[in-house]
Amino acid sequence: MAAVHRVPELVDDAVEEVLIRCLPDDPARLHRAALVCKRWRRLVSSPAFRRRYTERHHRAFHHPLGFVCNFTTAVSSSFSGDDNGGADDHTAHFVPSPLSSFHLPAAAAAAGHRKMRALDARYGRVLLHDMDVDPISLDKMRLVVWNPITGEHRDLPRLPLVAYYSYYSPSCWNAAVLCAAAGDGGCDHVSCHRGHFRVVVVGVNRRHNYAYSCVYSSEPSDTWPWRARTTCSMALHPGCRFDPNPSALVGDALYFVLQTNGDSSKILKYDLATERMSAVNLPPPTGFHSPRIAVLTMDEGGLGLAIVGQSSKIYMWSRVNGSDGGTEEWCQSGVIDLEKFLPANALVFDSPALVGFAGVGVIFIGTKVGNFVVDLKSDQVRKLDEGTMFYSVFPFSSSFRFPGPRY
Amino acid sequence: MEVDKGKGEAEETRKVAEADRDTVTLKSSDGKLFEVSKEAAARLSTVLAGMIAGGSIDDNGTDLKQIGSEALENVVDYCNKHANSIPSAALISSSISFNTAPFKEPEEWERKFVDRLSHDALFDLVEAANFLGMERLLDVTCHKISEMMKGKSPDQIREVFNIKNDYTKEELEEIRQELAWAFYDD
Repeated sequence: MAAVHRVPELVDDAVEEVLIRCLPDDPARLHRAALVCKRWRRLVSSPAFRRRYTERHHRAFHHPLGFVCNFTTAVSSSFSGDDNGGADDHTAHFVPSPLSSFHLPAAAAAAGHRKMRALDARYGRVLLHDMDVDPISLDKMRLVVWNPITGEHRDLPRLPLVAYYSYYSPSCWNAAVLCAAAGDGGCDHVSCHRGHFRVVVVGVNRRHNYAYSCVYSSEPSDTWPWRARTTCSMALHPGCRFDPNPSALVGDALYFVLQTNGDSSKILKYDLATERMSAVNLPPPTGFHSPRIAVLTMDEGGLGLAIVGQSSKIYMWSRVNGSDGGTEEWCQSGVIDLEKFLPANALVFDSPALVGFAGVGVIFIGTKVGNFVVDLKSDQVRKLDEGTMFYSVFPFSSSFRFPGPRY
Repeated sequence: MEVDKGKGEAEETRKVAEADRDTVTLKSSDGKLFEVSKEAAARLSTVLAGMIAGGSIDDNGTDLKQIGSEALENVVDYCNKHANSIPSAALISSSISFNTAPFKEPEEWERKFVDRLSHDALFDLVEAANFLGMERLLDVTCHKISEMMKGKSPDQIREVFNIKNDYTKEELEEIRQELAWAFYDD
């Protein structure tokens, strides 16, 4: 190799051309580049570079860097949700994606979160439910926002009273964490992970047949940090329970799956602007007994639905405007045959559990012989090292790729 | 040394001849001449395509003052190899829509092409490709350089790129602490 010392060094334009081609699956590379010299930092932290980079890597950008997985050592590997299962059994764990070269710092990765379960992960933040509850002390009932990149943990203030009834029943409520600007289109979520955030908790009181929502904002305010609201108009099924799969953020609304044993499962819609809840019916019955359902955001931005049938097929639906232009309706958008992706022994005894969707392109499947990540766009299938069966999984994609300007 | 009378005519025939030729002649900053397939040049370089379409190609060697002879030789070599190694329809269509298409891995011959280059030659080629608007060649060369940065510490990157560190010790320490996650394998 020729001597490496040369004059002059690469001009800015050429450096930019090189750095713009660093794939986002190794976010550390841009940060290291920013540490090379101040000229390089100015370059990669400039708005023009961010814009170009985001456009260029648009698809890969939303590939998960890893998965935050909930698992339980309880006898049943699935999440029964009933209720008050021993907190000792629960752990939330970060599992690197086999499709990305990203890893958490060793210490953070090894720590895990014992006696906790993840409720959501979005734009670099993970919302955790600390299940290590001491019934005597209400202060120990807590939600925590974890930033896996910086290692920060932030305790949220105590939930309002309306949530207390269901707090001990994990299946009675669910929650989501959002960038503070979510829903109003004011943020590209490319570097907001250290900014302000919102947490939305939705729950049902099955005994008294009402639903409630509580919203927390990290932005400083003079008022009580949580805003609560209840509604009685939803005609809840007495046996309904929240599915532990991730919620979907579509436009300015959040969608949660509310399961029942029969065919009356519904989707609960929470409108971020009006803070109101409503129920969305599912597509016509599939004939499957309590199929596993996941909500997701389609590539085009609409609401999508994935239903796992017993025949190892995933049925995809999307919400579209009705033919008369009026009310929205479901439209079947495709069928994914898992036999194509999984080893034969994975499908012998049991239908697989669909436990995660990262956009439409990446699915996460739990089976008796292991957990698999499938990239549908490239037909790549990888088995995860972790042998444990997860009951829910949250794709972790982050927003921290751009070094900030300074110096 | 033409007489004035014939100049217009000569100009005319020269232009016709140029339009008929299937190569163009490029001249490096140090005055060396290179022939390159016109079709490949127009397809691979937005700048050359513009010059060819605009008729500003000089038959006696189009001046490319920003590009040294070694880099230009590589550019021409790449264009000619490209002209010979295709035409796979996929590659043609992808070279058109590169700004939006996801990055396509370098082909075997492209990989070999950049692997044999020294650092200096590679860096010069990036600048030449950038100057000539050669998106695919930029992809291939920059991909190679970005591979060279993989897993390297800022110190090692500085060495490869011959860059002086202008951070103070304190500044580096501060960023390092904030970004512990990015240095886990240093």
